[in-house]
Amino acid sequence: MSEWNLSDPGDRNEAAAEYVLGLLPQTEKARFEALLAASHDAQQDVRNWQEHLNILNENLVPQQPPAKVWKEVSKATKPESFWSNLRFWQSASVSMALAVVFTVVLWFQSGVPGNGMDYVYVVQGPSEQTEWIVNASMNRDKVYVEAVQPVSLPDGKVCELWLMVAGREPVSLGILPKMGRNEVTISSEWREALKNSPLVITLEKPSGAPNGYEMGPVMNKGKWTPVNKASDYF
Amino acid sequence: MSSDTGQDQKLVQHLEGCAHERHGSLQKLYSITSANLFSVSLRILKDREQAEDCLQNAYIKIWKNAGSYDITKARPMTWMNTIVRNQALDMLRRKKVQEVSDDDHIHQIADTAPGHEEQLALSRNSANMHKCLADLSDQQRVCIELAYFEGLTHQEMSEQLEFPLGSVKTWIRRGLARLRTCLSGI
Repeated sequence: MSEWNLSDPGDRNEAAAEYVLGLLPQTEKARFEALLAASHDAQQDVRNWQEHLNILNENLVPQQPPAKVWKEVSKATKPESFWSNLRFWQSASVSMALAVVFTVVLWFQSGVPGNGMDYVYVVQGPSEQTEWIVNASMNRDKVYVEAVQPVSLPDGKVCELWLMVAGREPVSLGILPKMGRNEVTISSEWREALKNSPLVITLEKPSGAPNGYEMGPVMNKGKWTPVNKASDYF
Repeated sequence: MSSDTGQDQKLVQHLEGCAHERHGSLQKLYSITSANLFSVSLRILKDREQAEDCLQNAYIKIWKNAGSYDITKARPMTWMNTIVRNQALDMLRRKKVQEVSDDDHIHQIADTAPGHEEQLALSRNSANMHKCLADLSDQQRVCIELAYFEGLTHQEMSEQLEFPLGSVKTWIRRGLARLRTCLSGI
């Protein structure tokens, strides 16, 4: 005989609390997890209780762990792939970094192609150097991608830019240029959704991903920052 | 919660850095959060050496799973605390199984498990107790903490505190209800 009527919001909420506390017996736990897989309300109840009960953690007096813990964590997590080569960028001189900042500032001030742009996404690399600047101009119906200081990639690899439009296949905004500028026409199909859609950069073969559902590993992600009055266009 | 928004944003940025394998972000995350996460690990395991192992494994998990962190589902500290708590409770369960299989330890467990007076004293010890925790009765708070930090079942709590099972269940339900009312009003 079950203790909970999980179709009742009050019971469901109490079960969620005991689930987070780890108090539900095996059978009740299985029933609740079955509901959890399908019910957004149950998922929300669990999230709320995780936040509520987190005050038990917040109530504890912080204790400094010994230095050897970080040493072990660091040893176990240091990247060994080609990403470790990106330390090159981290060791770039201060003057180099300043030069990049200076370039970006000049780029914005020059108005080319910034003039008339509505949204910008600045792609930053591991040591926060600017790699590309992506701009959207709604009155020109164009997305412009300008290379600033692109990341060094292994042979046979490129970066592809995606617009993650909710409820549909991600839209490819093309391969990111190693130098110069690319432009993509904004389609009426996703024009309205553009400003609220996040952007993702993936690592691909030179031909790019076969489609929006079979992307390579995500290298970067971000969102648009409004530059001009968006209300003129939406 | 709003006062923590700036700190949350900083933690989210560092988690994003970890998702992109920026080791410097993990270092920053560690320097900001390790003392809090270590206190959770210590509270559950009550053994420094094991708590250190737990913390180490938890940060490796945080590094590996940072890409799946979703701000809409949990605040960053809640997400990291959950990783540490799950890791520590797993270690605690393994330790209990090992101890129960060893006859020599059975008496030791019985001797060292804090009794109900000690539990109340432990629970009252926090200097700056959260207002909503302070609103709970001692029994309600102790039972909720025994479940949360020690993974005890209702039955185990009843035996450890020497109170009837029905009382333990009632304290927990009423304690949770009071906690929810108090936290929802903040």
